[in-house]
Amino acid sequence: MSLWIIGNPEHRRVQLFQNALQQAGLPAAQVLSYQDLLSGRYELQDLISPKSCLRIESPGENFRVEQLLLAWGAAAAEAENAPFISRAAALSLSPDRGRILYPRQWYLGFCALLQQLHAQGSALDLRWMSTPPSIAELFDKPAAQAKIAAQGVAVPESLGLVRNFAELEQRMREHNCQRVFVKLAHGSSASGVVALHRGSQHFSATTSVELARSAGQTRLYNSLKIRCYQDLAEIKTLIDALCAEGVQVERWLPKARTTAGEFDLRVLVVAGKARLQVMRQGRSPMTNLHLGNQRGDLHALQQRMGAERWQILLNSAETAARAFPQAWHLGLDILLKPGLRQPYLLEANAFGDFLLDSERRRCLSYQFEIKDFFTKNFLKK
Amino acid sequence: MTIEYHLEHFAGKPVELFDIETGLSNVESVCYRLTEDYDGPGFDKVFQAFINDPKVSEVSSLVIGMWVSPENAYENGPEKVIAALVEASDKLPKLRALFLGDITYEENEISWIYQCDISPLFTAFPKLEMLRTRGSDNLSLGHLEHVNLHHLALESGGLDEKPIRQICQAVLPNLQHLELWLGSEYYGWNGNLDDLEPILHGDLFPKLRYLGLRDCEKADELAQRLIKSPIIEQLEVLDLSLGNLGDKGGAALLQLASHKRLRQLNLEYHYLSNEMMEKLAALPFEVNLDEQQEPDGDEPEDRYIAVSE
Repeated sequence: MSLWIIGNPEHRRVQLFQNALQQAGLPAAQVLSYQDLLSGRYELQDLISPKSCLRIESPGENFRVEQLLLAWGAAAAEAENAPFISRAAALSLSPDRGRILYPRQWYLGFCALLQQLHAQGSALDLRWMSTPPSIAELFDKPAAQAKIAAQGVAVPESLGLVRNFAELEQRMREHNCQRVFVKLAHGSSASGVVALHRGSQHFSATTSVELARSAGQTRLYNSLKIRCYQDLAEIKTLIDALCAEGVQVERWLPKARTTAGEFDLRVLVVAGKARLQVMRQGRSPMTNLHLGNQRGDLHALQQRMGAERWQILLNSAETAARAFPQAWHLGLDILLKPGLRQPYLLEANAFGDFLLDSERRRCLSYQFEIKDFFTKNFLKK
Repeated sequence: MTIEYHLEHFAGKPVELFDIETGLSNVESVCYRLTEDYDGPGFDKVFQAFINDPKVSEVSSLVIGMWVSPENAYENGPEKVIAALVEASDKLPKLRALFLGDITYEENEISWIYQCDISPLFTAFPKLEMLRTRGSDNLSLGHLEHVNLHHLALESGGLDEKPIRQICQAVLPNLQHLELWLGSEYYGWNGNLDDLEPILHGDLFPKLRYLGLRDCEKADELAQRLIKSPIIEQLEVLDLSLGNLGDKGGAALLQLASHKRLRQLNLEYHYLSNEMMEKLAALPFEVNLDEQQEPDGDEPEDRYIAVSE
């Protein structure tokens, strides 16, 4: 019995996973690239024997794969009346670093692939780490948050379906809400996330999204810099553009802070158990580590909270994970308000397990994922 | 830096937490703080105990902390507190100093503190002399006319231009101390330095002796404007602390040497070089140069002001 990885072979995720297999005394996995799969070069049954074990890795950070996924989603996006780019145009795009490219269409393409994998996988009786349908679920934030809420876990109040800025304004008034988080429904890694504040006299939008206009077309880019938009026209353009791609809109809750800044927590749950926690801290509402943020002092936080409240936090992560029983591993983002009492589940990430050690040489998650999977499936050494 | 600690002193007295059990037992020597904590009684209950205390008419100064549970602090202004104070104003004949919003970052971040229209306070307490507030979001001073107010301070991470404008239109003949924490554009300072012109012009507050334009993101430019402004003539204390003041602003401030009335320049928390600090220290009055900061990089934007979040 061998392990296959569906992923981008050049990506550190795959390389570090192979290292982790080796460390566990297991043979290297075979890798089927997204590019080969999406271009139709291989079907699963060409390469993979029945009952094999499979790991689906993140398809991100490969431009060709992004193009192919957009191509796969073109027909569905057009049928939906979502912003869309034709298959031909998608395949002839030039790389444009950071550009937010048709996220809804991308999601539809990714779902189409996941459906195909699910069908082919069933025919082959494959053992998935995280199953294709579970991954698809996790890439739909509004639906995923609703599932988490249904588990009884506290989540920030959702403002429901919002299609444009005008609707957002109205919804904020109805909910008596001055501050909201607007996130792309199908994004990850803080892509397309805006913290919007309606002050008594005007709006301000804090985001890592860069708004660029060229040839009468509005383009959005993810940048590493956080900025604050104060011009209403720009804010409207930004919000309208995001809403057109589908957004999750929820009440922006204040985060607890230390003198080093505000923070939230990423909890890794593997096979239903909370295994790792990272405190992500910085000076802005976007706490993702790649945005100039740092790891906070987790030990100090645990001391401050005490064992009981810490356990409640871990329990909330595990309970939320039960909403996705077929996801082998989940990266759950948890917010604590000042006072460190009630934890709120912000988000569940299908590929939120890429948590590196301080030297960035090892991924700390993989050992848990492998060990529990090995135990479950008796992978032969 | 964020606001980590509660006030220890206010209006010349040490501040103590008001406890329903012990009441206003030390009202002569202590200033009490009324607040709602995570696990304690609600603010309404605390206030009721306070206002019904037999010694309440002795209260000369008061600090209001959290007016709602920290769990719900965001988006809840102090309207009820203002209303309660106004209604009980005849029980507080000696109230001269009030702090509205002694809130630390653990309770609610300064930029999240939600204020309200506090103008009823000015009408209900004509003998009030000192008012300090924290939090700028939704803050309004109304049409401000008050004979006895001599100390007004608005603390914030980003001051909305509305209260600034209201101050510029205010009638405060006895104002001696004006302190504004301008803050960061990022956190709500939507004004610009032009908004301060009426104050800098000097006609507004003839008795002003302390001017604090603190926590300013454009401290260099502000310093350059100030030295050319008539207001400097009448000041005894100029406070530009907590901001991002660098050598450009420092060089401008050296020109303050000729101002006879000035006895104190507060520049605590700054980005001045050692050389500039030496020059400023040689000025013929007291200069506070504590808390020299290191910028993250070479750009002006790499300097952070002290209080914003």
